[in-house]
Amino acid sequence: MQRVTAEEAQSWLVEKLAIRLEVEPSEIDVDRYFDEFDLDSTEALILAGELEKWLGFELEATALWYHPTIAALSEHIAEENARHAAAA
Amino acid sequence: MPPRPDPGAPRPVLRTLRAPDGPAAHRVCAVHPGALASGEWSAVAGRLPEGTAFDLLDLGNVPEFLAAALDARAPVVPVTDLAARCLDELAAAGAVAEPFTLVGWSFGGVVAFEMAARLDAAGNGAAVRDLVLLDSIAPVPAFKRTDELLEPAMLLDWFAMYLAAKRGRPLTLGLTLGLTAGERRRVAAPEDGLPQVLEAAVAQGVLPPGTELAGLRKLYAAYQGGLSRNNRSTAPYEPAPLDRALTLVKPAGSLLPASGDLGWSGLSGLPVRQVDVPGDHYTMLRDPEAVGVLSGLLAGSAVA
Repeated sequence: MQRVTAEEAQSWLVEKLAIRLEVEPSEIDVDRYFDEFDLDSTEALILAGELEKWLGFELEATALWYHPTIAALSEHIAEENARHAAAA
Repeated sequence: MPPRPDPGAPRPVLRTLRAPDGPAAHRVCAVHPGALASGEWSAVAGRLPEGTAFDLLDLGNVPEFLAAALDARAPVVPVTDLAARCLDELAAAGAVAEPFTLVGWSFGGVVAFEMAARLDAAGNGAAVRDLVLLDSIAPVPAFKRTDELLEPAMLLDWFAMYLAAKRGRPLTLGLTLGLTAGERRRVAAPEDGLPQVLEAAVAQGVLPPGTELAGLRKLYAAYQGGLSRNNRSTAPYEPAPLDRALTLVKPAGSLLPASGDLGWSGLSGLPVRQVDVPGDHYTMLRDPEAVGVLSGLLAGSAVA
């Protein structure tokens, strides 16, 4: 499993969201709540599936509740990635 | 940053979508099972005559029912428990004091049927003036399906219909169109057809270019999880027929377009009244013509 830092996770999320929302990556506010982006539930699930494929592990269903911004989720992803790598 | 809502906090199962200024001349209560946002009922609620109250019972906000969709190992939530919970919510709000129209979409119709059965059994059957089922499949043996018995090609058709409705764009899935019954049976698993769904969805502008198969698989897993949860709840439920009129509203794109009244004649001592509307299972609450028919039905103007 590849190691993913919080910065790398944040870059991935910013790039994907920018493409989905058709804006420049610099316009994506990493401290904004996910549900404040113009993203419907279908797009959010598709993005989650793509993220899990990139990470190589599944996130828990409550991840977005407890880590509701790009910045917070990226930190969580890095911690989960380290935990999975340690357990491997 | 404002505090986030506590994810463990209970969300209201009963919500009022429409409240008249004064006393309600008529009350409609809808049972919503999830899959679509509960806001889909707004168009119908908005078309009802002045003085009509519209209450919505959102089963998606029953924590154990939601959990059963996310985890196939979670306990089954019986239809009887869901109906009892809904009736408790209505009673606590004083919403069963006067006769009302009870309507359920999809699996919500099965729960609505059990609510009516319970009121009948308690000698309070007059509380439900009309029982209206929106493309609900009757919980009778001939129509019950375990996950293993659901034909993969049919599930793909349903998922494509759902995806199109969620994205607000039409999607034609060439994968299963024109196949013979035998060919349809040879589609081994729905997941095998997802690459073709993705290709069609991107080509027809339903999903943006670059959408990955892993993303669509995640969406399908969530869709299938809800469907499977509903089937597991329905499987052990064996209701007796009711001595009351049932109205089935069936869209052109029904889940089972060739299956008549979807089994409801087995659950009523009276003839089932079937009303056909345009749209499909997932768009019937927003198709303008269907909304017009539904609002008329629920207001009582078209109920004999």
